[in-house]
Amino acid sequence: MLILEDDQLMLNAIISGLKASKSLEIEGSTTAADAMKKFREFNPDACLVDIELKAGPTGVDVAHAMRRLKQDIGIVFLTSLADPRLVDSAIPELPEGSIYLKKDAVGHLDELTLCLAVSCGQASRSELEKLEHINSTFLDLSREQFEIIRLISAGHSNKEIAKIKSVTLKSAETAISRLAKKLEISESTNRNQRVLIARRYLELIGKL
Amino acid sequence: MKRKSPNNLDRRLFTLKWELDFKYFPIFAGLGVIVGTLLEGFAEHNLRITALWLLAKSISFVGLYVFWTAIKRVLRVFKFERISIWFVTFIGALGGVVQVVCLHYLLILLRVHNTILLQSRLLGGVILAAIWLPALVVSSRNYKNYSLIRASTQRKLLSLGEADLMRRNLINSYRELIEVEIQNILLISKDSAQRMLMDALAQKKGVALPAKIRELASEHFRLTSMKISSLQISTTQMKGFQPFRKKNKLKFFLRALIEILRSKPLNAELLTLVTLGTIVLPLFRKLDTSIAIQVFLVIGICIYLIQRVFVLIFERTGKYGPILFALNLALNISVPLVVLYFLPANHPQLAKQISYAFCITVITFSGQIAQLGVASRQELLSLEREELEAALRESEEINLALVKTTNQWARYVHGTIQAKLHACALLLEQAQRNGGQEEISLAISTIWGVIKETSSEMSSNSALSLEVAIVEKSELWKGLVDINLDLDERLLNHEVPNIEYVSDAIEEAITNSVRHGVAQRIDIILSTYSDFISIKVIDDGIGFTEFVPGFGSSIFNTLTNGNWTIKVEPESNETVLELLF
Repeated sequence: MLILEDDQLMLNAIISGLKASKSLEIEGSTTAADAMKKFREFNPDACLVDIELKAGPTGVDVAHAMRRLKQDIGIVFLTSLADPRLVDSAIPELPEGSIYLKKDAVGHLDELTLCLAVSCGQASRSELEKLEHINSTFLDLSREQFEIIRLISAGHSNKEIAKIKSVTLKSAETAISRLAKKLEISESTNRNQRVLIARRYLELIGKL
Repeated sequence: MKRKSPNNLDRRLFTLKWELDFKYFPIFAGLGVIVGTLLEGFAEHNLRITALWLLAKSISFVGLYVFWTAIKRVLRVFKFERISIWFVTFIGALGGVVQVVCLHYLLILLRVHNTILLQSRLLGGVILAAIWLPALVVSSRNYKNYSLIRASTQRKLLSLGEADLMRRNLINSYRELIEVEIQNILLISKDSAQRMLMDALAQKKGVALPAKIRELASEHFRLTSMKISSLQISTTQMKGFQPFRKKNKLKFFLRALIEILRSKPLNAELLTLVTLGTIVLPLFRKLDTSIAIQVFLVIGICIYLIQRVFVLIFERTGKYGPILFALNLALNISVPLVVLYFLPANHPQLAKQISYAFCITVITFSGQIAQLGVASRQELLSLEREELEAALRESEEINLALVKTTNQWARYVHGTIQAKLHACALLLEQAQRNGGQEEISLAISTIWGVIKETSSEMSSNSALSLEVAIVEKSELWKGLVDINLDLDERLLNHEVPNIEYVSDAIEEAITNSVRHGVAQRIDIILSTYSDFISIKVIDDGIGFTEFVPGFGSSIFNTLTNGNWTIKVEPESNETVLELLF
């Protein structure tokens, strides 16, 4: 089994936890390039992947690359993101059959082990029904809205967003207020809407 | 200050050019012909013919002038700058031919039954048309300068407006940014603390900009004002076109004349052409053809060679301009004289030929003045062109520096200040939790100190080189896709402004190739192309049928100012993205 997690402490914690409960052969990586190298060396049955890596490709890109090399590899995403598109609105679709887990929903490492077993066909999919609480639904936002929420949180002004998106300032403003509405952020006179959107973004990516 | 619009300047430039090229030339040539005709008429001892001939010439020149004015107007109405100079030259030559033919029939109409005179005029006309051609070709070079000046003028005026706007908005932007950041902290902190902080801030009447921001702002101001002053200088230079205004015409004539004496003593080819024409007529008329051809060739070649020697002397030494010019003039007059003297001709005939030769020399001389006037103006223009180009280059550099300082302060505000303000918020919250009023007051004064203090730290501009920007980004994708680098070593440590854009663009290109193109192999080629640095990203992916602009195109546009292309090679089916910056 291969684990790709950019946080070294988290990676070590998962590896030691999984090793303690089951006698699994586990390899860990903190970067995409290293994960691909180990994937080629060890040919794992399943891979636990974090989506947001520090730089370069995302976990989803890595998962696709692995799938191209080994079609039956089981993929489990373990992430703090409420939706993978929050990290990059142009992120590819998740590979077929992969399992998406939010870190805060996973209560016990056994749940992780079960998901990994299901992903590579060593356990039945019906087993997952027991873990109803870990099922997450993705956000109902368009690609544009994902991009705008990221741009706002990165500190871009409306003018800059309009420039980046090649739209008029007015369209950008409309898009932002539509996004705020969708995120259920009301217009309030003593609250800065942009800050609230940025805060919501931080919540959704699990950093607040 | 009232500014001229680019369109007015355009119109003015164009009018001036046409005035010079197509008005002064006929005036000079016309003067020469009139003087020559008068001399010739006196030699004929026939006042009637002289008067009629003068009349015919005057009418034909007025006609020519009207013809050119009409053509000028028509061309101006129909997008003149797109009309080829060869077309204009053709029209010029056509004008010459039309003039000759008209004169011929005009003389017949006036019942001037002097065949020799008719033949002379016919040849004179042909020569005149022949003068037009090279003169027009020479002046065609002006068109290139003209379009360049036009483009720079427009750009300059636009930039001037932009720079003004930028200056006006700059302080407001700083203030707004700081205010937004303060709002953030207020929002994050608890209500009572927020009130207290607001009160405290209100008492302090605004926030002082940190030293780093002040420094960046002053640099920004300096660059903006540099840009404005450099643009103003070159706008002043545009006034160099004023010598061609009405009141300065005389000044220009003198300048053209001085120019001829100082730097352009000869126009050998043109003079030779005319001299040969001068000689050829008496030869064919009085002598056996074979002898005439021999004499014609020998004399023509001799004059040409002597003139070439003059030209060479001047080109090598750059001196003796006036002397050489005088010698050339003397040669032009004396050679026909000498030839005519030895020809078996009676005295009136000789006098006529002398006057005719003199007339042609005057024509040539005046044509030369006009042509060199064009050349001298061209020099004036090219001088300005260099200055304009320098001003534009400088303004480009300043633009880049402006973007850099803008980025720096934006990063500073968004990074450093934001972090500080968030730290302040945390401090306030902690004070609020601990409860004591004193503690909150202490926290607020600390915060005030933090906001006000001179800050030296700043997110540093990491010393990225092109090599790091490309190699580092490629390394991140190692294993997912096979990336081959072909980097021109001379460029690796090349300092590139806004290197972070290069880095972003490379990452975006690789991401696109992998995600959209499902590429297995990517070649990144770094090379130079003319004055540009070229980065080619070639992948073996599935390509695209229709290009959809997205976030990537915005990054590429920012980096290359629109100088980028993406295409699928039909033969290899490779997708090639090329960025030029």
